[in-house]
Amino acid sequence: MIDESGLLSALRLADSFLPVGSYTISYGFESFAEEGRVETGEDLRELLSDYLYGQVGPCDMVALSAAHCAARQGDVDRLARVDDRLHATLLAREFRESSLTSGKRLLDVVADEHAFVDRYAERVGDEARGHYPTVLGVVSATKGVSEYDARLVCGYAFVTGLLGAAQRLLRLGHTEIQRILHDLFPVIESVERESADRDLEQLRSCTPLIDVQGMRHERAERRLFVS
Amino acid sequence: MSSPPTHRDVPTVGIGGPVGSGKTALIKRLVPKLKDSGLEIGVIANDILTQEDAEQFKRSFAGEIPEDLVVGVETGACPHTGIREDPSMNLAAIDSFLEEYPDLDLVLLESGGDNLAATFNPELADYYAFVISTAEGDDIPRKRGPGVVEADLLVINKTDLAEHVGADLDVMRSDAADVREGPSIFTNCKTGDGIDDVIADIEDRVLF
Ligand SMILES: Nc1nc2c(ncn2[C@@H]2O[C@H](COP(=O)(O)OP(=O)(O)OP(=O)(O)O)[C@@H](O)[C@H]2O)c(=O)[nH]1
Ligand SMILES: [Mg+2]
Repeated sequence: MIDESGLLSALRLADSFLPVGSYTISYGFESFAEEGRVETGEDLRELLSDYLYGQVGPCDMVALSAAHCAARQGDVDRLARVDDRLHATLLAREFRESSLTSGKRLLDVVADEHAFVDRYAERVGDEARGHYPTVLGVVSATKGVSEYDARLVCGYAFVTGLLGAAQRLLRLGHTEIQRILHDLFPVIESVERESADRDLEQLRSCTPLIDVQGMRHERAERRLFVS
Repeated sequence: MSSPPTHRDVPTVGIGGPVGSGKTALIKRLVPKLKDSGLEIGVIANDILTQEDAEQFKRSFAGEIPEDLVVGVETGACPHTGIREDPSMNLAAIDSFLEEYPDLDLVLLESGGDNLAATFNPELADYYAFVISTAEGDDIPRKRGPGVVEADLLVINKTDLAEHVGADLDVMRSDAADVREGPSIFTNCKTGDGIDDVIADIEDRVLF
């Protein structure tokens, strides 16, 4: 069998080389940078921890796990419910749009690689929405990436995406960025553990300031990022 | 039932080139003429920095193109990624044009101002023109940047400024012919000189 451990697929999904538009998404970070609320590496580390504890773990990873499970059971209907739940939880319009756009792009990138993914993709736009965490869960499951690995991929890709945005918006060196990434590993692992046995009904997010910054971004005078 | 049209179903023309070389000026010249030949056109601009820029773009096409067929796409401060490694956001913008305008004839895509290495992903642009200007130095073609070498069409703009900056148009012409297989066209977007030749090349090679 090809890629039996799922490791190559996990690497592919975690890589910023994956063409799903991550480099255009800042999830409100551009507003933090623009308003000078984040300036130093320490500020950045703290803010990214907040994203992980408030959003990525309790929302994205929980949705991903539910999608992974539904995909293993071949339950396309349940995927639509995961999408709805995410849609109701992401408060800022641009966060929903970013998640939908990258979810759709990932489906396009892996089109024709697995019949179940294609079945779900056919429903996107009608009964299902195609949010990124849902799609990531489905794709991971069909490629033999374990639920646990998929949650780590989700956390890792989120952090590197925002670190990339930070490096372009602030004046931070590449070694400092790597140090922050390394420092955030325990946080990624911790939010993974906390989210591991939560089911879809427990999906939540609590990031008031991030949500406000995401909404302010809609009316920002200067925009380099879509969210 | 046939599936709805996607970005694969509409011809796309990329306009790339360094900052300030005249990409926007060229598009402003092309649109009315293409419109006159009966085409329905969408325009995507990458890396529009402010709302004001976006509004200005829409205003300049008022009457030529419906407002919802002119959009700005943010590329996260990575203009070349947006047109080369990961054009997904541009493809999404084309898809959303086609939802409203399934019979769209052509999409023009202006890349953010970039360096001479920026080429267009062939899954994004069926054809691309690379715009340089005489004011950036007459040695640009000889640097053999992939953007210049690979482009379907090289547009050398601002011919009116050549004499003021000491650029030799003959040198540019012969260097361009040395480094490229495709055509090169001189333009002056202030007066419209050369625009008809650009249109003819696009009609010939993209619209047939
Ligand atoms: N003299 C002269 N000026 C020109 C010509 N074409 C464009 N310009 C001027 O050059 C400046 C830059 O032109 P734009 O069309 O905005 O250049 P651009 O390539 O779109 O720039 P970016 O999008 O910022 O990379 C403007 O002030 C134009 O009016 C030309 O042929 N001759
Ligand atoms: Mg321009």
